[in-house]
Amino acid sequence: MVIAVLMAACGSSNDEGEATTTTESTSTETTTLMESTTSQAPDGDVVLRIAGDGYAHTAAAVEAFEASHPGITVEYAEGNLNFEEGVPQALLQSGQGPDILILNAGPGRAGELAKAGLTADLSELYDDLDLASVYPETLMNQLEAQYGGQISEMVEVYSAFQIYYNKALFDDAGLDEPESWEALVEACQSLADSGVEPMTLGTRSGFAAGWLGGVLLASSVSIDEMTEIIYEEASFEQPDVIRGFEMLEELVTGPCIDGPTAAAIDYNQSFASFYNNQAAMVAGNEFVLIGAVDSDVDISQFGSFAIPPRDGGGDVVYSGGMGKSWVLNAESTEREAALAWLAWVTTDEYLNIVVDAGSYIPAARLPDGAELAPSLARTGEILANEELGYNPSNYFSGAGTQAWYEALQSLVIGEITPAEAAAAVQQALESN
Amino acid sequence: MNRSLGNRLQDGLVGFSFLAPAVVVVALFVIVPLLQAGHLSFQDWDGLSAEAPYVGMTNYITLLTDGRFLAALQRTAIWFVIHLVLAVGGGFVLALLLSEVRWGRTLFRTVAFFPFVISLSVVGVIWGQIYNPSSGLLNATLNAVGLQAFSHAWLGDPGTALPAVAVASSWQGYAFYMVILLAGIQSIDPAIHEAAMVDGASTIQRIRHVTIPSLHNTITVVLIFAFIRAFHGFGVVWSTTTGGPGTATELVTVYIWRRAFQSGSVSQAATAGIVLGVIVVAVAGPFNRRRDKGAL
Repeated sequence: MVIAVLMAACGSSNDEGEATTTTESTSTETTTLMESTTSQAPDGDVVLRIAGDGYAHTAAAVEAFEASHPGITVEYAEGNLNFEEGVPQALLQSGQGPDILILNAGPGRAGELAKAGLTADLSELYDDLDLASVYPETLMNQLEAQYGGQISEMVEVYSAFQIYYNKALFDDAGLDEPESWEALVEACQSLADSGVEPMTLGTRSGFAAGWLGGVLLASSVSIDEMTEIIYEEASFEQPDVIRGFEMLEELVTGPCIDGPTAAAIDYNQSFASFYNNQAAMVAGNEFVLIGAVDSDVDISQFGSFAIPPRDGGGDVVYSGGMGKSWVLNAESTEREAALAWLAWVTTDEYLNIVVDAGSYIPAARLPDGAELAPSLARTGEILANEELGYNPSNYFSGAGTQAWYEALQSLVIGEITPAEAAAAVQQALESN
Repeated sequence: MNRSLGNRLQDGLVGFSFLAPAVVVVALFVIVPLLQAGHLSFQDWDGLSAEAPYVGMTNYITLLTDGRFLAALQRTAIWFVIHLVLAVGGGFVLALLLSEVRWGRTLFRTVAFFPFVISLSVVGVIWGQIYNPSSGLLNATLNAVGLQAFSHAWLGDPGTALPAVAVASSWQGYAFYMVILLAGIQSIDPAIHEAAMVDGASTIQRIRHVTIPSLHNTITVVLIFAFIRAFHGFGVVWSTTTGGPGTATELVTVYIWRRAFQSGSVSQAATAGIVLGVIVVAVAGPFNRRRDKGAL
């Protein structure tokens, strides 16, 4: 198998997931599409090749799938299929690519592969498995809004972005969770006065800049307005979008973020600064806490909140959404086995493995009694109860996402104004 | 006569058989991709679509009027100058020093050559940490010796990011030139130095009037290598700054990468690659010809 092009990217890309806690559970259903897969193995041994991120639960999931699907052997090649590095594109165009890939979700990445005909239409699978009852309604609406209703990705990870903070550092500075924008800025000043870096940001990793940018836009742009922008019915140069950029400018020119320092480090270094109590706040998704657990850092010392809107803004809204998705290689020679896997990853058996490992929050509805790991609990509540704003990185296509990252990076170092940032992104969206 | 022709043919076949593997490799990994890139430069392809319509010279016109590409070209020229001074200059100084070492020569050479064997990605990670504004070695050292005023976000400031990354790249590359120059220095007839010493020449005078002129051919080869390597600079830049902050460290090679994989403009990237290759050949070719003729 030509997996030579797989390479580790610099850190994780945007991962977003959602968990619900309803009482109904899914079950493996045998449908007209799946008659020859879930209930019985194809004749002869089949090798199903999967490529993508490896998680704590991956080995157990592969083992469980093989046990319940005799005759199918899974070859799981672990590696970060970073769309921005051309990895999934190269794999799918090679003609020898894996049957299934897990990669960045959304119209900007998985969607581009579908548009190019490199991945298969999964709409029939969704209908046959009634996945509309498994996934959150907002997610289904977004999936069905793409490419005339054709669904080409099975969202695996769903997450929410917010501001994580160090409770002890806040207590030492006499601070509570800020409930207004002004309170956030004042908190930054108090933290700076106490000798602590108020907010760390690693914009060397463009997607890390995107995390904070998405959180700020979520609080300044309404979901309806952002939906119009995402699906090209409105311009990105909206006053509310510019206000979001102005909020970032205020954080950078004020006491919250040191621009040159943020531009000099990547997300790993900023997370390290947060874990080591050198910085009081960091923007990110639940992987901030997952990373802390992996680094043996006590996560009970961290709290989180959404960015409060600035004057004239809307309600407090978390940004997030789809993070990683499974896609089916349009030229897969083991289509039946691949569909068996895609069906199986929505079953209780698989979801329990994921939840027990605490790898992330699956997009599919959790089984009865499934309890999220402490690092994921708070995000689980948000995903269950809050409407999510968009993380633009997942929805803009290549040039748009690149322009989004560069606009944020340039804003952080004071090279452009908020209006220029919005204009640069709009120009890239139009050219794409 | 036939026997002579037959012998010549046989000699040629034998020679070709020895060359064939290298020819095949060069053809597969250099010629064919070059031709494909050239073909792509006349098309409009996003790297995903099944269709790639021909657009004639549009890509070239767009590229040569793209301010961002021209800025990347300018940065690459600056990068070359820094590389020349630090990597080549540093390599020359070290070669001079190593040529004078009597004890532990092998040890010193091994240590001096060590950076060159480190992967470019690892070099980027190492120097990314050295330049870390809060916990990096550089700022910590400056603070420790009372030079806090010089403590800086080296990779976060557009004014210092390019030189900072160039220093890292030069640190990795100096050993390559050092080895070449050291070989050249050691090939100089010692009698010439002895004669100069007898005439009362100082060390600096011997370097200026004996060593450097004697290294003329070696230095010209090193300059060509430095030029080509500078225009290939990507690994260290990408692993330290990914071309940022903003576009402060976006060399032509980074520009090509971004156009191909992040902006979905593979044809534009191919075009830029072709133009870059033409620039390198246009400079290196005449330089080599003049060097061969002894005009340099």
